[in-house]
Amino acid sequence: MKSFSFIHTADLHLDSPFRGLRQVDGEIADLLKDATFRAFDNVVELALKNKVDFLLVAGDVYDAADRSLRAQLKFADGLKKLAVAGIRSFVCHGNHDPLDGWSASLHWPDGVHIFGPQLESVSMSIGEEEVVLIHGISYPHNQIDDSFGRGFKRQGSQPFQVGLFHCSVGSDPAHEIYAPRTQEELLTANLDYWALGHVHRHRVLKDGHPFIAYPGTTQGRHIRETGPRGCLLVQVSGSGEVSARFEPVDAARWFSHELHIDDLETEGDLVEALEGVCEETRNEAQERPAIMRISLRGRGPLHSVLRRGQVVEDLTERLREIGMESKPQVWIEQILVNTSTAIDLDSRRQSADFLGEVLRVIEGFRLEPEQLHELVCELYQDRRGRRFLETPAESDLLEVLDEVEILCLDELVEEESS
Amino acid sequence: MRLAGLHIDGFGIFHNLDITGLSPGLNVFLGENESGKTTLLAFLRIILFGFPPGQRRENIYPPLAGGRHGGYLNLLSGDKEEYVVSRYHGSKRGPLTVALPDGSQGDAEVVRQLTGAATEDLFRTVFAFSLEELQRFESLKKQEVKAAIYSAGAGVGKTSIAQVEKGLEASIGRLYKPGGKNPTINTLFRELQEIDRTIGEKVAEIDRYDELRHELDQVAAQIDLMKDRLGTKRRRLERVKLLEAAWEDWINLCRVREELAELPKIEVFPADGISRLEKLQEGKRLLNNHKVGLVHKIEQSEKQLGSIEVQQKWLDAAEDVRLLNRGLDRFSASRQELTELQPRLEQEKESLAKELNALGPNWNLEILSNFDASISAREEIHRNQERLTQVRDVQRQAERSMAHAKSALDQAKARAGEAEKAAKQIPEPKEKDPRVLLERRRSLRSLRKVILSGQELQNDLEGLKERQEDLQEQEDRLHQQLEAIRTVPLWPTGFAGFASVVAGMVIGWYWGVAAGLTIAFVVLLISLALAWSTLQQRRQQEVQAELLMQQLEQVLEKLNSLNGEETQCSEQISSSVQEVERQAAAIGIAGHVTLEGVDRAEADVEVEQETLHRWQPASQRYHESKEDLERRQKELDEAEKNSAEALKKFQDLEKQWQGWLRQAGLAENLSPHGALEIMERIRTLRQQAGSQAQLEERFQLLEISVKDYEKNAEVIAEKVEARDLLREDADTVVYRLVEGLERAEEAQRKYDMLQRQLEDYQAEKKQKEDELQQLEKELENLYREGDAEGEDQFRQRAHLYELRLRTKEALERHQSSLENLGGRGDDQDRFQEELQQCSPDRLHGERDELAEEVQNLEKELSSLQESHGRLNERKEQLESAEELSHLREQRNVLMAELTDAARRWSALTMCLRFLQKGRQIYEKERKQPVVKESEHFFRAITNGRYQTIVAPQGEERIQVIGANDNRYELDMLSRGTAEQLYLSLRFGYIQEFGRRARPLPVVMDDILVNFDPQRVRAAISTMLELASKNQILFFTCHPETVSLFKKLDKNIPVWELKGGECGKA
Repeated sequence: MKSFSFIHTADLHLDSPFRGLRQVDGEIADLLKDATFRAFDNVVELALKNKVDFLLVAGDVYDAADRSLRAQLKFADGLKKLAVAGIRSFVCHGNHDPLDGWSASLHWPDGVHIFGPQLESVSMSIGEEEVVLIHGISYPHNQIDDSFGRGFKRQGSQPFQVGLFHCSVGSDPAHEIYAPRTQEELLTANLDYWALGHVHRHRVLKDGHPFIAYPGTTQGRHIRETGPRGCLLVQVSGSGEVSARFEPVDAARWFSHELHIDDLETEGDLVEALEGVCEETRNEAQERPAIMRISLRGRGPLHSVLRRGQVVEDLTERLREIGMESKPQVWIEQILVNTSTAIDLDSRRQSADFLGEVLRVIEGFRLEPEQLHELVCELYQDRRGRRFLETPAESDLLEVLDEVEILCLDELVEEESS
Repeated sequence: MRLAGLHIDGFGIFHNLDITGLSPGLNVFLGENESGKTTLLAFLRIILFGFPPGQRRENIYPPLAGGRHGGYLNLLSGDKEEYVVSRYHGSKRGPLTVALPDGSQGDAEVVRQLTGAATEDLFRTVFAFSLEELQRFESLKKQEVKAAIYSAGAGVGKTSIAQVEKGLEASIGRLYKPGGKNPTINTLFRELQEIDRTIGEKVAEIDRYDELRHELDQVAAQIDLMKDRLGTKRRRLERVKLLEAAWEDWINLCRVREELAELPKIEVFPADGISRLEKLQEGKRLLNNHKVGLVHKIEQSEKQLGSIEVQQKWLDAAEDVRLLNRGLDRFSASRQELTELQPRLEQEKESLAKELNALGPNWNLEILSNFDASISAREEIHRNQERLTQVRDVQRQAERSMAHAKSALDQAKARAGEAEKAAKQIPEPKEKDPRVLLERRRSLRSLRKVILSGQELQNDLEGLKERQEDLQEQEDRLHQQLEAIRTVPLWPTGFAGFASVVAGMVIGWYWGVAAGLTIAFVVLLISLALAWSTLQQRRQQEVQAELLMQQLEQVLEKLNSLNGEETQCSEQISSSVQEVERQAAAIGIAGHVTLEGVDRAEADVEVEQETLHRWQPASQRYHESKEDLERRQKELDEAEKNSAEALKKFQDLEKQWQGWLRQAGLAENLSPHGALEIMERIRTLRQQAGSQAQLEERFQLLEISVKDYEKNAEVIAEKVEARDLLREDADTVVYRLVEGLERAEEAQRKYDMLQRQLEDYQAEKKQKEDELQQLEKELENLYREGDAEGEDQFRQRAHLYELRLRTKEALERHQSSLENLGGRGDDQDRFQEELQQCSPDRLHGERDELAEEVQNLEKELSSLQESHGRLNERKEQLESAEELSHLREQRNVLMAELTDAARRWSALTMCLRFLQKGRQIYEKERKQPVVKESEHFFRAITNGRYQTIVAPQGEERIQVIGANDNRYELDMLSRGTAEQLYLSLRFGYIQEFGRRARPLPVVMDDILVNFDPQRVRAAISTMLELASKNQILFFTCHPETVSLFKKLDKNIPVWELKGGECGKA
């Protein structure tokens, strides 16, 4: 068998906007707008540069609900570039871009194969030799049942066989379950490589034979998608041995940092520490713009300063200004203040005064978090609230409860050093 | 905790004031207005909780009487341990220092513990308050009253929970209101709805994308079809337009072709034939005219030549005359110089003869020229001069030395005489050695010392003798005293004893036994005392006698030692006398030696020393002057000898010099300097003689040259046969000769010029004749070329040839125009064929028809293209679809903002709910005991008029129930009763607080002013009750209030405040 190489990518979510990002100004705003496209361009560049034999796209190329023609055209453009260079592409659709979802009647270039709603197998020659057989299936719609996509199985004489599938292997709370599979189920298909899609963080489920991996999304789009995002560059030796290397292709990178204020005395110390975090992030971002959230934690004298009027807004503004002037740019998404006063909560909770009483009430809710929903249902059960707001999870409400505890302290206890 | 004392410094009117010994219970402070009661109240609050921050704008009681702004409190905790809490004005509300009972330093936490964690506001509203704070409740709404009571017990720093709740409610309201319009979340909902609607529209457009593409393809096909048709029509229209444009040329072409066919064929004709003909004819005419003019000029010139005469003799002598003329200036100058040189030469000769005569009688030019005035001769003179000068200087120096020596000798003689005279005036001393005299004086001094020490010894001996006598006297006295002491009697004592017994018996007999016994006893006591006193005296005397004995022994001892000293002294005196005698003998004083003798001898020695002192220098000077005189004499002799030698040498040199002068032929009396001057003179004269010879030579030369010139002039004049000039002087001759020559030359020049002119005219005439012949030939040739026999025929043929050429050109022009429009070759043939078959009318008709068709087609195409453009634009818009992306982006931003706002709203809402819930529980669980305690106080203060205080559950108001079971709202109570209720609530809370924390001191500033006397008394009673647990400081300015306090408990300490001082009344 001839050796060959290919790129395994998934979850491009082209033209899907960033979530949770407040107003972004300056150059970086334009960059973020096109970030998913840039990331896909990087995939195409990577394929051309490494002269790979084919490209595998394991679903969720775009969000059908977004109706982004631009996304489909750009995708087709990218595949055209590859086709011109003699690189074939194999695409299956996932839950976000099912076949019945809206799509433009585009002319796919030769060498592009889009898998249909039935499991099919396409052979791929390397040189004169028929070496690879790719099994794949696209979601006909996003209401598939658990049995969807069963029947992947080795067949034919091609020595290297690939399963291209958008599905959930194991459980991942961050993603909805679609076509759930266990690793064992995948193993019984007796394929050589499982090119999976759906999970946004890069994960190698099995490094060996078969090789099972999620490449993750090509571009992080919200604060839960921090760190490098990219695709897998896979080399298959003459003996069928697989070696896959993760290649970051993201055009901008998300970061989340925690900063403890315990050892900080003055606002100047805080600014210095924050600037340090920005510098660290800039280095970690490897020459690309970064979007960062900073959570301030711990307890210390700065807590009362941070609780004062515009302090956090001013700090954010200042860091954004500095971040925008630097290269690569760092955009501060948000500075979250989760600090608390130096007051010993446990002992205050024991005290017989009013504050103690309130803290005990909060503690009661903490022990029975299901009651928290009732407190906030007015907004979330509102006609428009139901439409635009997700009903908060208990974990979210518990987080809010922590904030509330600090808020109560701030409201009821006079600042100690005024 | 209670206050034991305080130190207040620089605080309002107070300065360095200490108040100590405060009672643990009630303390009343009486002071007039402005005596500092409120200041003290503020002082307590400030020391415990700090100076009010700047923004509160409260009075911080700055020092009015000086001092450091602050002070300290001595606080006793429950276990009687004393803490000193001090605070002075400064940063952060005034730095706090706390001294712990063990002397170490504490911090704010200690104060917090001491005050039972009471907050500043709690302390201010409940524990240390003035009438103003008491009344503050009254001015508030019911809700606030209630909340303030909770706030007082809530352990909360902020003024009121109600305010906190109100603030929270406002914040929540700003974020979200069900059915609201402006709150943040409501606005975001609205914006999101709006953006979703826009997105919906955009999505609907996207859904039409495929349809759009199909439509676009159809329109494109139609456009292509239309373009083909339009092309065909446009091409035909262009052809018709060309044919129309070519029509005029086509007609002209046909006409010109016919004209050309009719013209005779003259294919060749000389180019520019007519102009060439006319040019040749004009040339011929001009040449003929020129020739006639030249013939006339030749005749004129020949006539002028015949009239000119040439003078050849003058011309032959031209060079000589010019030479002569050139030498004329030199000749005139030489003649002038000759006239000037003659007298000068004679003068020179005369002067030289005089100068030579001055050198010597026989001096002439020969001697002058032969005299040796060489440099070596001058050097010889210089050498002689130097030698003579040197020797003369030596001789003069010797003479000066001699004169000097003579004068020195005279002075020495005078000095020697004076010294001799001075020496003889002083008598010669006997002893000439001063050391001998000095030694004698020293001996005398030593002798004086020996005599003096002898005298001292004598005095000592006498002193010893006197002391011996004193001591003997002392001894006798001591013996006497001893005797006296040994004889004091004892009998008076015995007598007294006896007398007492007798006296006792007598009195006993007379007044009774008892009295007698008493007196006897008294007398006996006196006598016993007397006896005891006598015995004591006796014992003292014995002691004294013993002391005296000791003194006596000491005196005797001293006497013995004095005797020894006396003997020793006598021996020393005798040895001293011997020493005196020995030394006197040595000096040479005979007989008995006294101090006066020694003095005399010393005076003598002094006189001798004086004499010697004066004599010694005079004698010394005399000897020295004598020696000097001898030395001067020797020096004079030496100088005289030297002078004579120098003179001799000078005279020898002078003789040598005179010899040299004789030899040189000069006078012998000349000095070298004079000889040098003569040498210089000879040199000058030689130069003078040289220049005279030159002058003579010059004179002769000039004479010869003048004569030669004159001769030459005569010869030339003869040559030109101008003999009349021989009589004239040379200058005139030369002038006339030059004039004649110039005239001859002028005539010759004129002749030559005319001759040349004539030749030129003749040559030109010949040339013109040749040219005429040439022109004739050319004319012949031209006719021949034009195939003509004469001018007329030539001109006719030329016209025909020109006409033919122009017709041909027109033909070509039209042909070319047609080619431009219809192409060349076959195209042109086809074009002309078409023209052949056309007519202008037909062409016009066809053109109009085609133009209309094209216009219509163009309109249709444009409309199709527009619609294609529109469709394509829409397609491209959809394809780029950035708008939708942007909208989705905006939506996400709004969603993010909504999430934030919702979270914030949730937090605030929860916070509010928890506060409310906490408050409910607190009301239920905490408030009741406070109300209960308060009721007790309120009942007591109102003397049972009001029995109960009610805080209805879930309702935020307070009611009181009277003895008649009537319920009263707060606003139904009188001001005094309301104040009494508030006071009761405070006391209730203070009681309740004391149960769970350390009781704190309570400070009240004149709060009873609105109470009637009965209730004042009742209130004081409750205070006394409260004072069993809490220390109370009560400030008042009313003495009657103090009286009431005193009436109820007279032990209550009353402190008086006055003029910044405080003392117990």
